[in-house]
Order: sequence, then structure tokens, then C-alpha cells
Amino acid sequence: MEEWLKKINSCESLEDLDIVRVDILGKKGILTKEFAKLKDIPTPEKKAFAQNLNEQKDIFTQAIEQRKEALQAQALNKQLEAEKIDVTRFNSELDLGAEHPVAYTMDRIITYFQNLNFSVEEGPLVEDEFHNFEALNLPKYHPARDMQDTFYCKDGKLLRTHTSPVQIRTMQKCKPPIRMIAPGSVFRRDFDLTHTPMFNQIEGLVVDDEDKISFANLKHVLVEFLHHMFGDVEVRFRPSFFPFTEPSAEVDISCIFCDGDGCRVCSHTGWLEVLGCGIVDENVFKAVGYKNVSGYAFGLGIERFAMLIHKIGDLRSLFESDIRLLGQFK
Amino acid sequence: MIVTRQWLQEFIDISDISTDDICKTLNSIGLEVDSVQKIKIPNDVVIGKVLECKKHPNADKLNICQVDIGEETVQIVCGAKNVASGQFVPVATVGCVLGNDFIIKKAKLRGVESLGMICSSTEIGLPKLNDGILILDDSIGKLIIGKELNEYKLLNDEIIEIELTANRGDCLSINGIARELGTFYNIKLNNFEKDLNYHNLSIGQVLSVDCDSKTDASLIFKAANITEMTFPLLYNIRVGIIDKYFDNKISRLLSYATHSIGVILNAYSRSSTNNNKNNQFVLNIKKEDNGFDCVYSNEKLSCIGIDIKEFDSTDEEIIIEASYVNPELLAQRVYDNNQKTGEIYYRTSRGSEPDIQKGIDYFTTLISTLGAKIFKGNESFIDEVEQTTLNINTKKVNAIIGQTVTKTKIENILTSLGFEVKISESGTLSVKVPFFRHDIKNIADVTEEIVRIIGIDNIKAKPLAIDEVNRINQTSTNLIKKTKIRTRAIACDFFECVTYVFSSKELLEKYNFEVVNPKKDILNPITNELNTFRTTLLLNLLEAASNNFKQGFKKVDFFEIGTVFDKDRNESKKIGFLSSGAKEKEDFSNSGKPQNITFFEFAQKVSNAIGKFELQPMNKITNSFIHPYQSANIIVNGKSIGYISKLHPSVADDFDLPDSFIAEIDFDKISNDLIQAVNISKYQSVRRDLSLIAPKSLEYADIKKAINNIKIEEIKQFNLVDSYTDEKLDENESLTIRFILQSTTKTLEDDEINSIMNKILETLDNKLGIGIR
Repeated sequence: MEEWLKKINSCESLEDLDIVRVDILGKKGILTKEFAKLKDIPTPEKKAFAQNLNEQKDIFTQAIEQRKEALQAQALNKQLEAEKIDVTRFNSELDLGAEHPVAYTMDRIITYFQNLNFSVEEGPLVEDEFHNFEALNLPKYHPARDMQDTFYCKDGKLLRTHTSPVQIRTMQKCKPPIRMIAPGSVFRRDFDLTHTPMFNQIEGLVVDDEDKISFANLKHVLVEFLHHMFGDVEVRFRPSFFPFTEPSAEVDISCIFCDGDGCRVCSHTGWLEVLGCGIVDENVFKAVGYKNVSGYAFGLGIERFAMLIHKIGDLRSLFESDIRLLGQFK
Repeated sequence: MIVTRQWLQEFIDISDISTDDICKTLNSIGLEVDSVQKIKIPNDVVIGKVLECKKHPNADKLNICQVDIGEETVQIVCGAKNVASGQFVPVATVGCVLGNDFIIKKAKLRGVESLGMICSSTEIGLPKLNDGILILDDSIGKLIIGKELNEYKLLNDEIIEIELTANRGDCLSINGIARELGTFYNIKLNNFEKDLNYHNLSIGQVLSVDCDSKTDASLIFKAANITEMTFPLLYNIRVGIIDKYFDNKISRLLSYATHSIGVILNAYSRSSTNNNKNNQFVLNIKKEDNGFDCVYSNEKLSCIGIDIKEFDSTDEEIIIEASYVNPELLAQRVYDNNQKTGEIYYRTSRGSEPDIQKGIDYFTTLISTLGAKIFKGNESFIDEVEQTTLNINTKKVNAIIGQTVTKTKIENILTSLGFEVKISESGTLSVKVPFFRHDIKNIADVTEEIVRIIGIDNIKAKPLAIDEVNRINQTSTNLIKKTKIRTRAIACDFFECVTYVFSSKELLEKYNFEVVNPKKDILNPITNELNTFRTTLLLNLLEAASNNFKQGFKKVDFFEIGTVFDKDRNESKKIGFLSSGAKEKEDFSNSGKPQNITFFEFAQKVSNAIGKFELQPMNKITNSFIHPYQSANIIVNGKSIGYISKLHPSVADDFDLPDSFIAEIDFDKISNDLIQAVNISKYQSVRRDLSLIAPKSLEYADIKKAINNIKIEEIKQFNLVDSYTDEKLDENESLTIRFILQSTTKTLEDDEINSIMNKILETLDNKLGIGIR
């Protein structure tokens, strides 16, 4: 018996094991032969003999089964081992395109204001004098309106120089209260290291009943927004001048490159100018026929935000579709 | 606007306030500080006195000077033409470091020993003034031989450059900035006292002015004799700092005074004027037809507020003119007449200082101290204008700000800014606006003054309570659609581009794209490459791809969603796709040699991005980018929404591109309908292939149409899986179509499947005359 068990456990393949199984339990197997002897055994001893044989059979069956499982496991391991690959060969380069950093930044800003229940409005790129200038309290002779900055068309139309005409169009189309942003491309006739003839802006406008909208409200919405975009920065409001708002302010954040200590990016001032804003000038409301209302407005350049947030050094590179830049935004 | 600390000090005592603090204040009250720069004259530059100056024996252009520098007298060889004995000069002594590694050493010049250098203004860090060496005088402080020049604080000044907004003409002078600082710090401005050195004659004996009654400029004239007038260094340095160092001394002094006090000052010399028989200068002031007030003598001398001719006379008697014109009136006229303007217009259009009496007093006092003699009396033509008075309800001011500022505080701020404030019977404030604040017109303007002086930082931010409104509109719906397409396009390998909405008209025409009607085109394009509106996105994408291939990229996939224009300049949104070169990245899966992308692979990518479409051959090729035999209209719901094509090989050559594919689609026509799901069948589906022999000329679309027309519900899907051709097939080819069949009510039996397949074959035979091999 020991010998046979040894034989079972030394089998190296399922085929060998099956041969041994037949040798023991098969029709001509040794155990079958022993069972055949049973009929010749006298009755009194028969029971004990049979019991002994059955026990032996159980032991063999179990041993064969165990060996079978071991061999199967071995075979599976071998197969698995054969399938081994060098996972470090994985090419970790992403195989897809990427959002443009300007479009991505624009999306983030739009989403922020949509979450504050602002509507999104659009307007044409080719505008007229009224919507782009006059309605915004920029009469033709105003020093802030420089012919050199504006692209004009031969029929007297112009390429909008800011997204503010969308404010005017929205106010003409809707009744107050208004709560809107207007994202889009704008155009200035300027092309150098820090200017491109086209860039993108987002403009915000809130109009409600007289005396309802205050500078304090404007300050709240912008401080929260800038913290959302730039994290834990200081926000500074500087009084400024825009023809379409009064009072007006420019908004700075503490420089995110030097934490306000002064560096090349912030021209050693410690501050970065990021926004313009103010209380809507009454002449703007007059131009659209609104009476007894109050409101605030703000505007910002998307490229400026994208460059600061993503540390992009060159404004013009944003319009060059260079995969060396775009590929970094996968 | 440039101010310096020491210059400001003449108008307001800021000695206890640091420059940093001043800059912070200027920023917070709306005068943005652009830069701060400190002049620091290097160490070891001392005051020397030239005792003797002799020609160098071996060099024509050099002088040998003996210079007293206090503890000793040194010999210095100097090349400047203007050096002379008796002068006080800056001397960089041996060992002195003048900027970048420029160290003064003992030297021999043409055999003569030189122990130091006599310096020009720029060599010691001051602005450029005259040619040659700088000659010192006691306008910078008492000159002490041997004393280091960096101990003279009038020289070692701090320069603050302020970027003024267009409304603040009142701050275009040192006096104006001082006025603002005075309000903020609550410091009184220094008293100015008129102190003239009179000539024994009065103005009437030398000047006769005739002024047209229609003029609206305010003018004051005075006359002066400047024979004995000096022009000290300090003033020269200051005009150098503001970049107004004119050759003529009078021009320089006028600039100095205008920059100091803000009043527009001009001068005329006797030689340029028409003297009458009484030997008086004669000036005629006339309003011209275009509305401008001009000063004439025998010729036109100036146009008030528009331009000033540089004074270029050495006459001993001069006429001085101070002027003011209402800036809005002036700007309107300039616009209406398309008038060319000079440098002075920057000030006059923003509002120069209207107190011209003070301006002329300032200037005549200044030149008196320098030795000029002023003729008694003046000729003045002042347009009396009533000051604007505004009624200010302080409740309204507080509503705009969003917090309470007391009436007293408002009154105090306005008073210190030069407004006259009275409390009216109704409790509102009656505010008289000073002439120099022509920009203040209404309560919002007044509120801005309050806001800037209390400081926006001191306004507490307050959230606005709003009513909830559904803000979804067509624009936001389109944004969602755009985001979805962008996300899918990016997942399909395309990089998003943002390019200019401009194009080159020449290139658009060369490739037969439509161009915007010349009558509506851009009047003043910025470059020739961007001289018209784009009518396609593809040209920009092609140029971008070309640049990337030049950088060594082998695979470029771009898309852009943007505005294009039609020939009538109507705007619409399109989406453009471009794929060039390899279809996948270089990798071990393709042994580093990826194949080029093909038409059908490109179409699949575009389709994955924008949704399901069919392709139909184009009956009309609209531009030269399109390949005549690999191009199609993109069809959705039976309608064309754009086109797709292989880039014409000759265009690919023009741009040095490998095999490339393009598509341009109307964004608005891309469907964004909500998906309606159908019930999933519980029963098994089966696959069956049919290999058909069909003429090569037969379009697959016809086969598809024929099969679709049978309308067998069990055909869930079918598509071409193989095409094969060989010589034996001649003009035919073998097409293998795979069908997926499934019933919603039961498992299909073999005979049912066969019956469906037979029906298909029968139809194809009947309709198209084709069948299996």
C-alpha cells in the first residue's frame, strides 16, 4: 500500500496519475482484484475484510484526488507563468487629445458662475458703434476710445473690443432683474509680446431694483470667485476708471509666483491685476431705457487667468496650436 | 505721470511718510503706481572743482585738468568739450565703481597720468542732459568740495511712475498728486506765494492783444525779460526725468512749470510776432471755422489746447501764455474735424488745470527767482463759468457703497478734495464741484470719490440675496452640447485648438474658399496674413499642423469649434477636424512604424466625436482642399451637415504635410436630441455572412438602401466586413456583408433564418442584379 501511495505522489502529470489510478482502481486494478476475492471469503470474516478494503479504497481515492488537484494547480501556474509580461514596458504617454487651456479655463469660470445662478449669454463678434461704445458711455470723442485699438469694417461696423456689448443686447432683450455672464472672443488692434489681436473675455452683469445692488455685493462675488480660481490669495481692490461703471475698481491678487514678495511676473509689486469691475453707470441704463435700477458689472481676460493658473509664459503661444504646449494639458 | 519724492516735497510736506507708504496710498485712492525707481549716485563720486584746464600735448580732443577734490588736488585727463576751469563737477575717484564692473583706475592717457574721471549725468545714474560732463551748481544744495554726491538728497530722488486713468486730468501735475495725498493724509499743501521781480515797464507798453469775443478758451498773457535768467541744474535734472529735456531753455522751463502745476503754459518770442508802430507785440486770438481758438501774429502761432510749437528763440523778451479749454468741448471738436493733435492734447483732452492765474503766477515767480524781470500787469481773457452744483442724497451714496458712511464723513472727504459742501434744507448735501474736477457729473462720481478715500478695503463684502430663476437658455444648452462634443473629440485623439477668426484673403482665394464681400471686409487689418474674416476653420488648422510637422511631430489631430463668416459676413459656429500622418503613436505594438491614417479611420474618429452619420459622394466640390475621389457630404437624418475629405495632395504639398484628412461641420446642425432606448430582446441573436459579387461601379449605398427597403424587423444590423478583388473577378468585386438577426418574440429557427437570407438575396437580385458567388 505504501508503495502505491508513493507511486501516486510521485506522478508528474495527470496522464501518469490516471495510469496509476487504473492500476489500483481500474477493472484490472489491484484493489478490484482484492474485491473479487471477497466472494471466496467465509462469512464471519467477510465484513472485516470488506471494511478493510473500503478503507483502503478511500485512502487511494483521496490520495489520487489530492495529487490531481496539486497537479492541476501546478499546470495552471505553469500556464500563468508562460503568460508573464514585463509590465514596465507600458508606454505611459496618454493616447488622446487635450482641451485647450483657454477653453478649459473659460469652462471653469462659466461653471462657477452658472453655479451662482448666472445665465450665459452670447452676442455677435461683428458689432456696431452703439452696442460696443455709445451705449457703454463711450462717446466718439472719449479719450478712452482710441481708433488704433479697434478693428473697423469698411461698412462702419467693428469687431467688438470687449464682451460688454452682450450686456447691452441682453438688457435690450430682457427685463430686469438680470444676472448674466457673457464669454467670448474680443479684438484689439495690437500684436506684440503681450498682446494678440484676438483674446477672450468673460463679462458679468447683475441688474436689480434701485438701491438693491451695492459695491459690497460686487466685492463679495469677486472675492469668492478669485479664491475659487487662485486658492488662498489676498485680494485687493484699487479704485479705477471705466466709462461704463462708476465707481470702478481694478482687482489685484497677491502674486501667486512669489507670494507677494515681488518677482518678474508681478513687476516687483507683489500684486497681479486680474479683473476690472464697478457699479453700472447710469448712462448705460439710460441707453437701454432702464429706469430705477441698480447693478454691478465685471470683466476679465481668460488668457490672463489661464496663463497665471497654468504657468504659461507666452501669451502668443496660446494661439499657435503647438502640440508641445497643448500636449501638456492631456 | 511721473512724480518724484523731492518734487512733491515742494508742494506737500511728506518728509515723515515713507515712499512705500505713499505708493500704497496712491494705489488705494485710484492712482495706480506703475513703477518706483530710486536714483542712487555711486559711492566715491565727489564734488570737484576744476582749478586748471590745459590742452593735452599729444591729443587734440583731450584736456589735462587739475581738480580739487577736497583732501587733495588730482590730475584728470578729460575728453569732454565743455570742461573749463572754475567749474564744479562730479568726479569719480580712483576705486569708484560706476555700474557694471566699470571701476575707475589710475591710468595713463597718451602718456599723461589720470587719477579719476569727470562724469556726465548718465555715468552717475542721472537722466541724459547736455552732451559732455555735468556741471554742478548749488540748486542741488550747498556745494562742498570733496563731498560725496550721493549725500545730496535732491539728486538722489525717488521716481514714482503713475498710470493715470483717462478721467483724472487733475492728477497730471505734481500739484494734483500732492492735492490727493493731502486729502488722504490730512496734510495742508504748502503755501504758494506770488513773488515777482518786476520790470520797470508794464505789459501795455510791450503787448497788444486783440481777442475775438467768440473764443471759449481762457487765456492770460504776461511778458518777461529773461536777459539775466539762469537755468539751474535741479530743473534740468527734473525735466530730464520726465523726458522733456528740450534744447531750448524756455521750452524746458515751460514743461517744468506745466508738469509742476498742471496749467498749460506757452511762450512767444518777439522775433516771431508782429510789432506795431508803438513797438508793441501784437497778438490776435481768433476762433477758426472748425471751432478751434488760435493765436496769430504775422503767422499762426498756436492752436489752443491742440499743439504747442517748441520755443526756439534766444530773444530777451518773451510773452507767456497760460490757457485752459473745456476738455469735452475740445475732444468733441477734435473728433468732428479729425484734427491732428500734438503732445499737449494728452493733457488738454483729459482736462488741464483750470486755475490759469495760479499757473501764470507760479511760472513768473519761478523765473523771477532765476533772474527774469516781469512786466507789470497782464492781459487776461477768462471765460467765467459757473461751478457745477450737485445735490447729493447720502442715503443713495450709502446704497451704492453697501454700507453706512456718515454725512459728516462724506462732507469732510468732499471738502478736503476741494468741493464746497453745504447742507440743504431737505437734508441733502449741496456739493459745488471744483473746476479741476470736470469728470464729476453725478452722484455716482461723487460716490466714487468717497469710496476711494475711505478705501475699498474698508468696504465689507456682502452676499446678494437673489430670487432663484431657471437660467437655462439656448446658449447654455449649446454649451452642454459643445462640452460633450469636445470631450468625445479629445477621447478620439484630437487636440483642441483656439485660432484667430482672421485669415489671409489671398490664401482663401487661392484655395477657392468664399471670401467676405470687400465692402464689408476689415478696414484696418493688423497684418497681411490676417487681413480678412475666416470663412473656414480648416486653413488655420492646416497651418498649425504644418508648423507641428516642422517641429518633428509625425501625427497631428486637431479640432476647433469656432466662428466662421460667410460672404455676407454672417456668423456661424462650425467644428473643423484635421488628421495628418500616423494613425497611432509610435509604440512596440506597431514596431515604432504606425501606418498613416486612412479615410475610413478618420471618418470613424469624426463620427465618434460628433455622433452617427452617413456619407454620400459630393456632387459639387466647393473648395480646392477637397480630394475629388475621397470626399463626401456628411449626412444626418437625410440632410447634409458638412463635408469630409482627404486633403488634396497638391495642397498637402503646399503645406509640407503627409496624407491628411479634413472635415468641417455646422455646429448647429449636429443633433443633440435625447436618446430613446428600445427594449432589449431576450432571445439569441445570430450572425450570417453574405458574400456578394457586385460590379465595382456599384455604390455600397445602393445595396444598403435595397436591404433597408425590405424592412425586415429581424435584421438588427448589417455592415460590410470584407471586400475582395482579383483578376478573375474582372470588373466585379466580392463584398462580404455580415448580418445580425434577432427576433423580439422568439429564438429564430434555421428555416426562419434561411428565409430571411433568401429574401435579401432575392431582393438584391431583383433590384440590383447581384448575387452570391
